[in-house]
Amino acid sequence: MGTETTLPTDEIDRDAVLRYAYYIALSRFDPHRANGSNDKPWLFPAYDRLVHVNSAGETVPGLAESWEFEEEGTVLLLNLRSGVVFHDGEVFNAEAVKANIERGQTLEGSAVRSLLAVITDVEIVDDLTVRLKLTSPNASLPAVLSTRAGAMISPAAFDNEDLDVFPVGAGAYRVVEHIVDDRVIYERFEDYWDVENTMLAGIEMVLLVDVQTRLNAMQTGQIDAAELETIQIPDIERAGLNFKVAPDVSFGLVQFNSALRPEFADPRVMRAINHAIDREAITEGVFFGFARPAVQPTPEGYFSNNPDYGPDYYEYNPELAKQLLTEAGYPDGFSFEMQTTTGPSRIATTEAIQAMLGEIGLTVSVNPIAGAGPFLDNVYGSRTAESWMLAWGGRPDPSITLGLLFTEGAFNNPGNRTTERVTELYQRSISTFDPAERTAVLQELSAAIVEDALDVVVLYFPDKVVAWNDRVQNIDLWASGRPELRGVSMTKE
Amino acid sequence: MINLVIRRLLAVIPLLFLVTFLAYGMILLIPGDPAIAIAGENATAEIVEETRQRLGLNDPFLVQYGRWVTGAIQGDLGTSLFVNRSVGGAIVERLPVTLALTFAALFLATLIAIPAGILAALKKGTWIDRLTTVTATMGIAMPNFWLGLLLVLGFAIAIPWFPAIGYVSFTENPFEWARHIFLPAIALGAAACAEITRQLRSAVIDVVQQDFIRTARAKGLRGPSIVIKHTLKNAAVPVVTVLGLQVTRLLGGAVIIEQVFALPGIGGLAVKAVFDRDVPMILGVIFAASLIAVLVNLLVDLSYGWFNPKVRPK
Repeated sequence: MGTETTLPTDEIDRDAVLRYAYYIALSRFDPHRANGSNDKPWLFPAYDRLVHVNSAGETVPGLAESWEFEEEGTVLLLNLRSGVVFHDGEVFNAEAVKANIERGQTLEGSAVRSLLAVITDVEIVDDLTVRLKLTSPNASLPAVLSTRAGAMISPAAFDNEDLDVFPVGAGAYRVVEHIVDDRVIYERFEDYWDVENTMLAGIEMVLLVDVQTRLNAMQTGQIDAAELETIQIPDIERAGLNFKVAPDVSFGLVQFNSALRPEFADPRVMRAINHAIDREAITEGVFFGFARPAVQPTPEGYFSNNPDYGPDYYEYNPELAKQLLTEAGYPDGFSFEMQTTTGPSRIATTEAIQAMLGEIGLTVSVNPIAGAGPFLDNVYGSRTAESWMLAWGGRPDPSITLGLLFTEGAFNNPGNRTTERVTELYQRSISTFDPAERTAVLQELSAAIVEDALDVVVLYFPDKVVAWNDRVQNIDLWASGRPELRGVSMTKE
Repeated sequence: MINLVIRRLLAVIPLLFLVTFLAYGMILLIPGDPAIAIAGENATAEIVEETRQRLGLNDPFLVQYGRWVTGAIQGDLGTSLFVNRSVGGAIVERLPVTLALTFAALFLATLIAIPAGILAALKKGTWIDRLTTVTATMGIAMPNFWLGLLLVLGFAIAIPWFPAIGYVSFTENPFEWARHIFLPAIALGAAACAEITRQLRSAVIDVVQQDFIRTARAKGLRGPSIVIKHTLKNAAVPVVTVLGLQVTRLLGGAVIIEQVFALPGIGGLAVKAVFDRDVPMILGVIFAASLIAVLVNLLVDLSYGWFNPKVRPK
């Protein structure tokens, strides 16, 4: 998914300030207490992390130049970069890593505690080497350290009263002005370890919640780049802006609680449902073609996606679906409730599914729940919902998503249904450390999940759009769904 | 006069209690739990419970409200549940933008409404009157956010005279301030302008039919003098009442207009606070808005005495 174009350096304007609009407000600038992955675009210019991800979602060196698993994966050894300083002049070293991880684990109100729970001890080997001792092998830890959980705060600033408003990190940019819920002005940090490749003199990141307002601001030249919506593509083209369309790791799914309704525990029923849903009708009818039909829980082209299982693995075939239902002992079908949130595309998708399942004799009553909080409580908290349609936000590593949805006892698997081979492959996915080998395991796991027809029916990956004007170079859509401005440059006017 | 002001100001206190108490109750009716949002997307059930304990969200309603009131009486509106900063500070930072927008809208609205209303009344029944009435009806019927978007398309994108988003403070650059506030103020003030025009028109029509105007005319006074000295002052009372009501309506409308034009006012703060269930912030915004509403109403009441000596308190 990366689109790198190299420009002659004399065309790049190292004095340029990028004006970028993002649509979700920052919760807090303290990365350990910032509560969502939506905060990343605001946090990461100022806070560097131990591990970086590239736009394709693969982990690459960050403040840790390299890492390796030791002692059968129960220890993660990090080799830290030398010569790194925080914005307050403090030196980044093994001490700082230990202090940060311990802060994330123990701080009152920490929102990264559960992500760091796998680490039992941080041992300082020398000034630039740490060993993280783990409760069990965990190959997704490097990806976790690319999130807020791996963001490094200057230990001298831990107790700053205003850390929620003024970050003190080691990122490529330091914050010079922050008007809460309005804008953040970043300025290039000249002592950044990779300052040579930090092409922008600064970033002015503005909160523009309304998507039409973002497009308007791009048209008047008040903003250089922003994420927009696919429905605006004709307007984006008319305005003469550059844009790119691609899906990320978030996807639409329907999930069934097979513990509450044993009918769903029969794989034949789940295969019948898979065959009864016309995914393309949904992507065309609800998303006007700006979504990709899928049966796997990661997008095409992403490293854990198995190329042999395309969207037509479960081709639309109501006759076959009916036959499978009859085989399972439900020739007359049965009825159940499907919950969703009140967003227009969610309701439209759920109603389409209602009609499609009605064709094979399954009577679905749609129940839209107002508010994400009560909805999530019904489906994963109190687990009182029989089935539901939702958008899965994606996680930094596929093992995390697959573990949460498809393993026994997992928070997002209320039906608690899994199979032996899925369990076995999942275990291997978190205890295989060679990247190529791990990719193979993940692809095998992805295939097993599709074949075994577990409680989740994957529907589609919606497209995202980023637009930019002619001066902006190298801006991209990130597989993580959270844009980073690393590598972005601007040409001279 | 001073007694009246003091009495009215004292009456504000129980009113604010009532408003914030009701607001607190309504916040509890919003489904969702701030602790879930604050604990973050990777939280476990224990972390959520711990967050609830830490923020005192498990305490009974009256205890929570009591805690807030105790602080508020001492001038402390509390700390945001989300960001470690004072509610009072956040409001002081953002209120000037909303006030500037509201009063710019009101100013532009009156600037247009006064001549339009008088003209329509004096030319009652002619095409001028009908045109004014039709335009005013359209102004009332048009949703302000939609008008805002049209204005941006017309006067920021097609004809780039004004910026589409953003705000510059008056003290920083008065010219840029005016450029940034103009379109939002028109969008917000259109309905108010229409309302005032219609009120003024009917008030003026009413007054010019009174005996004292006929007498003035019989004494030989001519047009402008009658309109300004005799008619307007008497027609002002209903208009000022509407003006006072418009201020609170404009404050409400500013919430939407601020989003359309990305102005860093109190509206964005309120919307985010409601989505986050940030109780102290919601209460703070409601507190500030109620205070403004009450003060504006007081000013309106006092102005009656100036326009009409008969209602002056003894």
